[in-house]
Amino acid sequence: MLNPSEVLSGKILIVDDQPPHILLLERMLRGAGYSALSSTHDPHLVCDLHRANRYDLILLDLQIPGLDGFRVLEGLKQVEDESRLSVLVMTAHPGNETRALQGGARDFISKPFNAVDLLTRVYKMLERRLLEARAGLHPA
Amino acid sequence: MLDPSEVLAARVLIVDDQQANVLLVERILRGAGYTSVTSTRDPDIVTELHRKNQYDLILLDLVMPVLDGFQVLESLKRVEKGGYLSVLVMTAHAGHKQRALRNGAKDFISKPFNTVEVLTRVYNLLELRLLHKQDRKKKRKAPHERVRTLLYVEDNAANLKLVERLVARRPNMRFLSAQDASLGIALARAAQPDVILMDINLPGMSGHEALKLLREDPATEHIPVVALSAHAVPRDIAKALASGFFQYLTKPLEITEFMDTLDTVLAFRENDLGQRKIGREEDHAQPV
Repeated sequence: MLNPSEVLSGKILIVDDQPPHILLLERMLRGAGYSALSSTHDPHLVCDLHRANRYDLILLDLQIPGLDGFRVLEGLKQVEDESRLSVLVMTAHPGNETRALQGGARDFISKPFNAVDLLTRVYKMLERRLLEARAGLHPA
Repeated sequence: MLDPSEVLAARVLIVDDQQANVLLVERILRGAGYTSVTSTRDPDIVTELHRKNQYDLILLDLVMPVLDGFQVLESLKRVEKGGYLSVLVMTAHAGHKQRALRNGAKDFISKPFNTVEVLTRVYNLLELRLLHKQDRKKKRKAPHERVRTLLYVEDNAANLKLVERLVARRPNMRFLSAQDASLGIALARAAQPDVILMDINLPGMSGHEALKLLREDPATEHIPVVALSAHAVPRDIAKALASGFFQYLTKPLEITEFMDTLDTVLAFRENDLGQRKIGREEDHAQPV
Protein backbone atom coordinates (compact mmCIF):
# COMPACT_ATOMS: atom_id res chain seq x y z
CA MET A 1 0.00 0.00 0.00
CA LEU A 2 0.96 3.63 -0.22
CA ASN A 3 3.11 5.41 2.23
CA PRO A 4 1.53 8.84 2.95
CA SER A 5 4.94 10.49 2.96
CA GLU A 6 5.37 9.44 -0.66
CA VAL A 7 2.11 11.14 -1.55
CA LEU A 8 3.05 14.25 0.41
CA SER A 9 6.34 14.60 -1.42
CA GLY A 10 4.64 14.68 -4.83
CA LYS A 11 5.71 17.65 -6.96
CA ILE A 12 2.91 20.18 -7.29
CA LEU A 13 2.69 23.31 -9.47
CA ILE A 14 0.04 25.92 -8.67
CA VAL A 15 -1.02 28.15 -11.56
CA ASP A 16 -3.17 31.18 -10.73
CA ASP A 17 -2.91 34.78 -11.89
CA GLN A 18 -3.78 36.12 -8.45
CA PRO A 19 -0.93 36.01 -5.92
CA PRO A 20 -3.32 35.99 -2.90
CA HIS A 21 -4.94 32.82 -4.25
CA ILE A 22 -1.55 31.21 -4.67
CA LEU A 23 -0.62 32.08 -1.11
CA LEU A 24 -3.81 30.63 0.26
CA LEU A 25 -3.46 27.41 -1.73
CA GLU A 26 0.14 27.06 -0.67
CA ARG A 27 -0.80 27.58 2.94
CA MET A 28 -3.51 24.91 2.85
CA LEU A 29 -1.25 22.40 1.12
CA ARG A 30 1.77 23.11 3.28
CA GLY A 31 -0.43 22.86 6.37
CA ALA A 32 -1.46 19.38 5.28
CA GLY A 33 2.19 18.34 4.91
CA TYR A 34 2.91 18.75 1.20
CA SER A 35 6.54 19.64 0.80
CA ALA A 36 7.29 20.04 -2.93
CA LEU A 37 5.25 23.08 -3.89
CA SER A 38 5.96 25.51 -6.70
CA SER A 39 3.79 28.21 -8.19
CA THR A 40 3.51 30.69 -11.02
CA HIS A 41 1.09 33.46 -11.93
CA ASP A 42 2.25 33.51 -15.54
CA PRO A 43 0.39 30.93 -17.64
CA HIS A 44 2.94 31.27 -20.45
CA LEU A 45 5.57 29.60 -18.29
CA VAL A 46 3.57 26.48 -17.40
CA CYS A 47 4.59 24.27 -20.31
CA ASP A 48 8.29 25.01 -19.99
CA LEU A 49 8.15 24.51 -16.25
CA HIS A 50 6.45 21.17 -16.70
CA ARG A 51 8.91 20.09 -19.36
CA ALA A 52 11.77 20.87 -17.00
CA ASN A 53 10.28 19.58 -13.75
CA ARG A 54 7.70 16.90 -14.60
CA TYR A 55 5.20 17.76 -11.91
CA ASP A 56 3.06 15.05 -10.37
CA LEU A 57 0.17 17.48 -10.20
CA ILE A 58 -0.66 20.80 -11.82
CA LEU A 59 -3.34 22.81 -10.05
CA LEU A 60 -4.66 25.09 -12.75
CA ASP A 61 -7.01 28.05 -12.51
CA LEU A 62 -9.14 28.16 -15.65
CA GLN A 63 -9.89 31.86 -15.73
CA ILE A 64 -6.60 33.56 -16.34
CA PRO A 65 -6.54 36.73 -18.40
CA GLY A 66 -4.10 36.68 -21.30
CA LEU A 67 -3.86 32.93 -21.80
CA ASP A 68 -6.80 31.00 -20.47
CA GLY A 69 -6.57 27.62 -18.78
CA PHE A 70 -7.90 25.73 -21.79
CA ARG A 71 -5.02 26.98 -23.91
CA VAL A 72 -2.59 25.97 -21.17
CA LEU A 73 -4.12 22.47 -21.18
CA GLU A 74 -3.66 22.30 -24.96
CA GLY A 75 0.00 23.20 -24.54
CA LEU A 76 0.53 20.68 -21.74
CA LYS A 77 -0.71 17.87 -23.95
CA GLN A 78 2.22 18.60 -26.24
CA VAL A 79 4.58 18.12 -23.29
CA GLU A 80 3.10 14.97 -21.79
CA ASP A 81 0.72 12.37 -23.18
CA GLU A 82 -2.89 13.06 -22.23
CA SER A 83 -3.26 9.64 -20.60
CA ARG A 84 -0.56 10.57 -18.10
CA LEU A 85 -1.23 14.24 -17.64
CA SER A 86 -2.19 15.06 -14.06
CA VAL A 87 -4.08 18.36 -14.08
CA LEU A 88 -6.67 19.48 -11.55
CA VAL A 89 -8.60 22.55 -12.70
CA MET A 90 -10.25 25.15 -10.48
CA THR A 91 -13.31 26.81 -11.90
CA ALA A 92 -16.22 29.01 -10.91
CA HIS A 93 -18.29 28.24 -14.03
CA PRO A 94 -20.17 24.91 -14.02
CA GLY A 95 -20.10 24.62 -17.82
CA ASN A 96 -16.31 24.75 -17.88
CA GLU A 97 -15.85 21.50 -15.99
CA THR A 98 -16.91 19.28 -18.86
CA ARG A 99 -14.87 21.27 -21.32
CA ALA A 100 -11.77 20.98 -19.14
CA LEU A 101 -12.25 17.23 -18.59
CA GLN A 102 -12.57 16.74 -22.33
CA GLY A 103 -9.55 18.97 -22.80
CA GLY A 104 -7.27 16.74 -20.74
CA ALA A 105 -7.89 17.63 -17.08
CA ARG A 106 -8.38 14.65 -14.78
CA ASP A 107 -10.56 16.30 -12.20
CA PHE A 108 -11.95 19.66 -11.14
CA ILE A 109 -12.73 21.72 -8.05
CA SER A 110 -15.64 24.12 -8.17
CA LYS A 111 -15.16 27.52 -6.57
CA PRO A 112 -15.74 28.45 -3.85
CA PHE A 113 -14.07 25.50 -2.18
CA ASN A 114 -12.65 24.80 1.25
CA ALA A 115 -9.66 22.90 2.59
CA VAL A 116 -11.40 19.53 2.66
CA ASP A 117 -12.44 19.82 -1.00
CA LEU A 118 -8.95 20.84 -2.05
CA LEU A 119 -7.04 18.29 0.05
CA THR A 120 -9.29 15.41 -0.96
CA ARG A 121 -8.84 16.14 -4.67
CA VAL A 122 -5.10 16.70 -4.38
CA TYR A 123 -4.47 13.56 -2.34
CA LYS A 124 -6.49 11.40 -4.75
CA MET A 125 -4.67 12.75 -7.80
CA LEU A 126 -1.23 12.16 -6.30
CA GLU A 127 -2.21 8.75 -4.99
CA ARG A 128 -3.26 7.72 -8.47
CA ARG A 129 -0.11 9.15 -10.03
CA LEU A 130 2.01 7.07 -7.64
CA LEU A 131 0.03 3.88 -8.13
CA GLU A 132 0.19 4.28 -11.89
CA ALA A 133 3.92 4.74 -11.70
CA ARG A 134 4.26 1.62 -9.56
CA ALA A 135 2.07 -0.36 -11.94
CA GLY A 136 4.48 0.62 -14.70
CA LEU A 137 1.85 2.67 -16.49
CA HIS A 138 4.24 5.60 -16.72
CA PRO A 139 7.73 6.44 -15.49
CA ALA A 140 7.90 7.66 -11.91
CA MET B 1 -4.39 5.24 -17.18
CA LEU B 2 -6.41 2.06 -16.82
CA ASP B 3 -8.42 0.65 -19.68
CA PRO B 4 -11.84 2.41 -19.43
CA SER B 5 -13.66 -0.86 -20.13
CA GLU B 6 -12.18 -2.27 -16.94
CA VAL B 7 -13.49 0.68 -14.95
CA LEU B 8 -16.96 0.48 -16.53
CA ALA B 9 -17.23 -3.22 -15.65
CA ALA B 10 -16.43 -2.66 -11.97
CA ARG B 11 -19.05 -3.59 -9.37
CA VAL B 12 -20.99 -0.65 -7.99
CA LEU B 13 -23.59 -0.57 -5.20
CA ILE B 14 -25.90 2.41 -4.62
CA VAL B 15 -27.34 2.82 -1.11
CA ASP B 16 -30.09 5.38 -0.55
CA ASP B 17 -33.44 5.12 1.21
CA GLN B 18 -35.06 7.39 -1.39
CA GLN B 19 -36.19 5.56 -4.48
CA ALA B 20 -35.90 8.71 -6.61
CA ASN B 21 -32.21 9.13 -5.74
CA VAL B 22 -31.43 5.50 -6.45
CA LEU B 23 -33.11 5.70 -9.84
CA LEU B 24 -31.39 8.93 -10.73
CA VAL B 25 -27.88 7.72 -9.88
CA GLU B 26 -28.51 4.40 -11.59
CA ARG B 27 -29.61 6.18 -14.73
CA ILE B 28 -26.58 8.47 -14.70
CA LEU B 29 -24.18 5.52 -14.30
CA ARG B 30 -25.86 3.19 -16.79
CA GLY B 31 -26.06 6.06 -19.28
CA ALA B 32 -22.30 6.49 -18.97
CA GLY B 33 -21.70 2.80 -19.74
CA TYR B 34 -21.38 1.17 -16.31
CA THR B 35 -22.54 -2.41 -16.64
CA SER B 36 -22.52 -3.76 -13.10
CA VAL B 37 -24.65 -1.37 -11.06
CA THR B 38 -26.87 -2.64 -8.24
CA SER B 39 -28.75 -0.82 -5.52
CA THR B 40 -30.51 -1.17 -2.20
CA ARG B 41 -32.75 1.04 -0.10
CA ASP B 42 -32.09 -0.98 3.03
CA PRO B 43 -28.94 0.12 4.89
CA ASP B 44 -29.20 -2.93 7.16
CA ILE B 45 -28.09 -5.35 4.48
CA VAL B 46 -25.21 -3.30 3.03
CA THR B 47 -22.48 -4.87 5.15
CA GLU B 48 -23.67 -8.38 4.37
CA LEU B 49 -23.87 -7.55 0.66
CA HIS B 50 -20.32 -6.19 0.72
CA ARG B 51 -19.04 -9.20 2.62
CA LYS B 52 -20.38 -11.40 -0.17
CA ASN B 53 -19.76 -9.26 -3.23
CA GLN B 54 -16.74 -7.08 -2.31
CA TYR B 55 -17.88 -4.08 -4.36
CA ASP B 56 -15.39 -1.84 -6.09
CA LEU B 57 -17.47 1.17 -5.18
CA ILE B 58 -20.31 1.88 -2.74
CA LEU B 59 -22.24 5.11 -3.20
CA LEU B 60 -23.63 5.77 0.25
CA ASP B 61 -26.33 8.16 1.39
CA LEU B 62 -25.52 9.50 4.86
CA VAL B 63 -28.94 10.49 6.13
CA MET B 64 -31.17 7.44 6.38
CA PRO B 65 -33.71 6.43 9.02
CA VAL B 66 -32.84 3.72 11.60
CA LEU B 67 -29.27 3.06 10.46
CA ASP B 68 -27.45 6.11 9.12
CA GLY B 69 -24.56 6.17 6.67
CA PHE B 70 -21.94 6.73 9.38
CA GLN B 71 -22.97 3.51 11.10
CA VAL B 72 -22.90 1.66 7.80
CA LEU B 73 -19.37 2.97 7.19
CA GLU B 74 -18.30 1.79 10.60
CA SER B 75 -19.41 -1.79 9.97
CA LEU B 76 -18.24 -1.88 6.34
CA LYS B 77 -14.61 -1.53 7.27
CA ARG B 78 -14.88 -4.75 9.23
CA VAL B 79 -15.70 -6.79 6.13
CA GLU B 80 -13.50 -5.18 3.46
CA LYS B 81 -10.95 -7.76 2.35
CA GLY B 82 -9.04 -5.81 -0.30
CA GLY B 83 -7.82 -3.17 2.13
CA TYR B 84 -9.12 -0.24 0.12
CA LEU B 85 -12.74 0.31 1.13
CA SER B 86 -14.07 2.37 -1.72
CA VAL B 87 -17.00 4.38 -0.37
CA LEU B 88 -18.24 7.59 -1.96
CA VAL B 89 -20.72 9.38 0.29
CA MET B 90 -23.57 11.46 -1.08
CA THR B 91 -24.45 14.38 1.13
CA ALA B 92 -26.29 17.69 1.21
CA HIS B 93 -24.36 18.86 4.29
CA ALA B 94 -20.89 20.29 3.73
CA GLY B 95 -20.00 19.50 7.33
CA HIS B 96 -20.63 15.80 6.81
CA LYS B 97 -17.83 15.47 4.28
CA GLN B 98 -15.02 15.72 6.79
CA ARG B 99 -16.79 13.47 9.27
CA ALA B 100 -17.36 10.83 6.63
CA LEU B 101 -13.71 10.95 5.54
CA ARG B 102 -12.63 10.52 9.12
CA ASN B 103 -14.92 7.52 9.39
CA GLY B 104 -13.38 5.76 6.42
CA ALA B 105 -15.15 7.17 3.34
CA LYS B 106 -12.77 7.86 0.47
CA ASP B 107 -14.58 10.72 -1.23
CA PHE B 108 -17.86 12.63 -1.38
CA ILE B 109 -20.35 14.08 -3.84
CA SER B 110 -22.82 16.84 -3.11
CA LYS B 111 -26.59 16.66 -3.24
CA PRO B 112 -28.47 17.74 -5.29
CA PHE B 113 -26.56 15.70 -7.86
CA ASN B 114 -24.55 17.24 -10.62
CA THR B 115 -24.02 14.70 -13.40
CA VAL B 116 -20.48 15.78 -14.24
CA GLU B 117 -19.47 15.63 -10.59
CA VAL B 118 -21.05 12.19 -10.07
CA LEU B 119 -19.39 10.71 -13.13
CA THR B 120 -15.98 12.25 -12.45
CA ARG B 121 -15.85 11.16 -8.80
CA VAL B 122 -17.16 7.68 -9.55
CA TYR B 123 -14.70 7.11 -12.38
CA ASN B 124 -11.72 8.46 -10.49
CA LEU B 125 -12.42 6.52 -7.32
CA LEU B 126 -12.98 3.30 -9.24
CA GLU B 127 -9.68 3.83 -10.98
CA LEU B 128 -7.97 4.26 -7.63
CA ARG B 129 -9.63 1.14 -6.23
CA LEU B 130 -8.53 -0.93 -9.22
CA LEU B 131 -4.99 0.45 -9.04
CA HIS B 132 -4.85 -0.38 -5.33
CA LYS B 133 -6.04 -3.90 -6.10
CA GLN B 134 -3.33 -4.38 -8.73
CA ASP B 135 -0.73 -2.99 -6.40
CA ARG B 136 -1.79 -5.33 -3.63
CA LYS B 137 -1.60 -8.36 -5.88
CA LYS B 138 1.90 -7.41 -6.92
CA LYS B 139 2.93 -6.82 -3.32
CA ARG B 140 1.67 -10.18 -2.22
CA LYS B 141 4.06 -11.79 -4.64
CA ALA B 142 6.95 -9.61 -3.52
CA PRO B 143 9.16 -11.34 -0.96
CA HIS B 144 10.04 -8.34 1.21
CA GLU B 145 6.92 -7.48 3.06
CA ARG B 146 7.12 -5.27 6.10
CA VAL B 147 7.15 -7.11 9.41
CA ARG B 148 3.93 -6.50 11.34
CA THR B 149 3.39 -6.77 15.04
CA LEU B 150 0.43 -8.02 17.02
CA LEU B 151 0.24 -7.27 20.72
CA TYR B 152 -1.98 -9.57 22.77
CA VAL B 153 -3.03 -8.42 26.24
CA GLU B 154 -4.23 -11.51 28.10
CA ASP B 155 -3.78 -13.10 31.52
CA ASN B 156 -4.69 -16.64 30.49
CA ALA B 157 -1.62 -18.68 29.50
CA ALA B 158 -3.52 -21.17 27.32
CA ASN B 159 -5.05 -18.38 25.23
CA LEU B 160 -1.69 -16.68 24.87
CA LYS B 161 -0.19 -19.87 23.56
CA LEU B 162 -3.03 -20.46 21.08
CA VAL B 163 -2.87 -16.95 19.58
CA GLU B 164 0.91 -17.06 19.41
CA ARG B 165 0.63 -20.25 17.35
CA LEU B 166 -2.02 -18.73 15.06
CA VAL B 167 0.02 -15.60 14.47
CA ALA B 168 3.02 -17.75 13.57
CA ARG B 169 1.03 -18.99 10.56
CA ARG B 170 1.33 -15.58 8.95
CA PRO B 171 4.76 -14.89 7.51
CA ASN B 172 6.45 -11.68 8.66
CA MET B 173 4.40 -11.40 11.79
CA ARG B 174 5.78 -10.71 15.21
CA PHE B 175 3.96 -11.61 18.41
CA LEU B 176 4.16 -9.62 21.63
CA SER B 177 2.19 -10.17 24.80
CA ALA B 178 1.41 -8.55 28.13
CA GLN B 179 -0.39 -10.13 31.06
CA ASP B 180 -2.15 -7.04 32.33
CA ALA B 181 -3.51 -3.79 30.90
CA SER B 182 -0.91 -1.34 32.25
CA LEU B 183 1.91 -3.43 30.91
CA GLY B 184 -0.01 -3.73 27.63
CA ILE B 185 -0.36 0.04 27.31
CA ALA B 186 3.31 0.62 28.05
CA LEU B 187 4.27 -1.99 25.48
CA ALA B 188 1.91 -0.48 22.90
CA ARG B 189 3.59 2.92 23.33
CA ALA B 190 7.06 1.50 23.05
CA ALA B 191 6.62 -1.11 20.33
CA GLN B 192 3.91 0.56 18.20
CA PRO B 193 2.17 -2.68 17.18
CA ASP B 194 0.01 -2.76 14.03
CA VAL B 195 -2.88 -4.29 15.94
CA ILE B 196 -3.76 -4.96 19.56
CA LEU B 197 -5.84 -7.93 20.69
CA MET B 198 -7.37 -7.08 24.04
CA ASP B 199 -8.93 -9.42 26.55
CA ILE B 200 -11.82 -7.65 28.28
CA ASN B 201 -11.70 -9.33 31.68
CA LEU B 202 -8.21 -8.58 32.87
CA PRO B 203 -7.02 -8.47 36.47
CA GLY B 204 -6.96 -4.85 37.68
CA MET B 205 -7.65 -2.52 34.78
CA SER B 206 -10.27 -3.89 32.35
CA GLY B 207 -9.97 -4.00 28.57
CA HIS B 208 -12.50 -1.18 28.29
CA GLU B 209 -10.47 1.14 30.50
CA ALA B 210 -7.32 0.19 28.63
CA LEU B 211 -8.95 1.09 25.30
CA LYS B 212 -9.93 4.47 26.67
CA LEU B 213 -6.33 5.21 27.70
CA LEU B 214 -4.96 3.99 24.37
CA ARG B 215 -7.39 6.29 22.55
CA GLU B 216 -6.44 9.32 24.64
CA ASP B 217 -2.75 8.97 23.94
CA PRO B 218 -1.60 10.41 20.56
CA ALA B 219 1.10 7.72 20.47
CA THR B 220 -1.45 4.90 20.42
CA GLU B 221 -4.80 6.44 19.36
CA HIS B 222 -4.44 5.16 15.77
CA ILE B 223 -3.76 1.50 16.59
CA PRO B 224 -6.81 -0.69 15.95
CA VAL B 225 -7.84 -2.70 19.00
CA VAL B 226 -9.78 -5.96 18.72
CA ALA B 227 -11.72 -7.05 21.82
CA LEU B 228 -11.79 -10.62 23.01
CA SER B 229 -14.18 -11.85 25.65
CA ALA B 230 -15.95 -14.91 26.97
CA HIS B 231 -19.01 -13.07 28.23
CA ALA B 232 -20.51 -11.52 25.16
CA VAL B 233 -24.16 -10.72 24.71
CA PRO B 234 -25.11 -8.70 21.60
CA ARG B 235 -25.66 -5.56 23.67
CA ASP B 236 -22.09 -5.74 25.08
CA ILE B 237 -20.72 -6.22 21.61
CA ALA B 238 -22.60 -3.24 20.20
CA LYS B 239 -21.46 -1.13 23.14
CA ALA B 240 -17.83 -2.20 22.71
CA LEU B 241 -17.86 -1.42 18.98
CA ALA B 242 -19.43 1.97 19.64
CA SER B 243 -16.71 2.74 22.17
CA GLY B 244 -14.04 2.25 19.54
CA PHE B 245 -13.05 -1.40 19.36
CA PHE B 246 -12.35 -2.38 15.77
CA GLN B 247 -13.94 -5.79 16.14
CA TYR B 248 -15.27 -8.00 18.91
CA LEU B 249 -14.34 -11.67 19.03
CA THR B 250 -15.71 -14.19 21.48
CA LYS B 251 -14.01 -17.02 23.34
CA PRO B 252 -13.50 -19.80 22.60
CA LEU B 253 -11.68 -18.30 19.65
CA GLU B 254 -13.00 -19.34 16.25
CA ILE B 255 -9.87 -19.81 14.17
CA THR B 256 -11.14 -18.85 10.71
CA GLU B 257 -12.86 -15.80 12.12
CA PHE B 258 -9.68 -14.78 13.93
CA MET B 259 -7.50 -15.14 10.82
CA ASP B 260 -10.03 -13.19 8.72
CA THR B 261 -10.14 -10.42 11.31
CA LEU B 262 -6.37 -10.29 11.38
CA ASP B 263 -6.19 -9.82 7.60
CA THR B 264 -8.94 -7.21 7.58
CA VAL B 265 -7.48 -5.16 10.38
CA LEU B 266 -3.97 -5.16 8.90
CA ALA B 267 -5.29 -4.10 5.50
CA PHE B 268 -7.37 -1.40 7.15
CA ARG B 269 -4.37 -0.14 9.08
CA GLU B 270 -2.30 0.38 5.94
CA ASN B 271 -4.91 2.50 4.24
CA ASP B 272 -5.95 4.36 7.30
CA LEU B 273 -2.55 6.04 7.46
CA GLY B 274 -3.08 7.91 4.22
CA GLN B 275 -6.66 8.86 4.74
CA ARG B 276 -6.39 10.27 8.21
CA LYS B 277 -4.36 13.24 7.07
CA ILE B 278 -7.29 14.73 5.18
CA GLY B 279 -9.93 13.89 7.75
CA ARG B 280 -8.13 15.90 10.37
CA GLU B 281 -8.01 19.12 8.39
CA GLU B 282 -10.33 21.90 9.41
CA ASP B 283 -13.44 22.10 7.28
CA HIS B 284 -13.83 25.77 7.96
CA ALA B 285 -10.82 27.17 6.16
CA GLN B 286 -11.45 30.25 4.13
CA PRO B 287 -13.02 29.56 0.75
CA VAL B 288 -10.85 30.39 -2.24
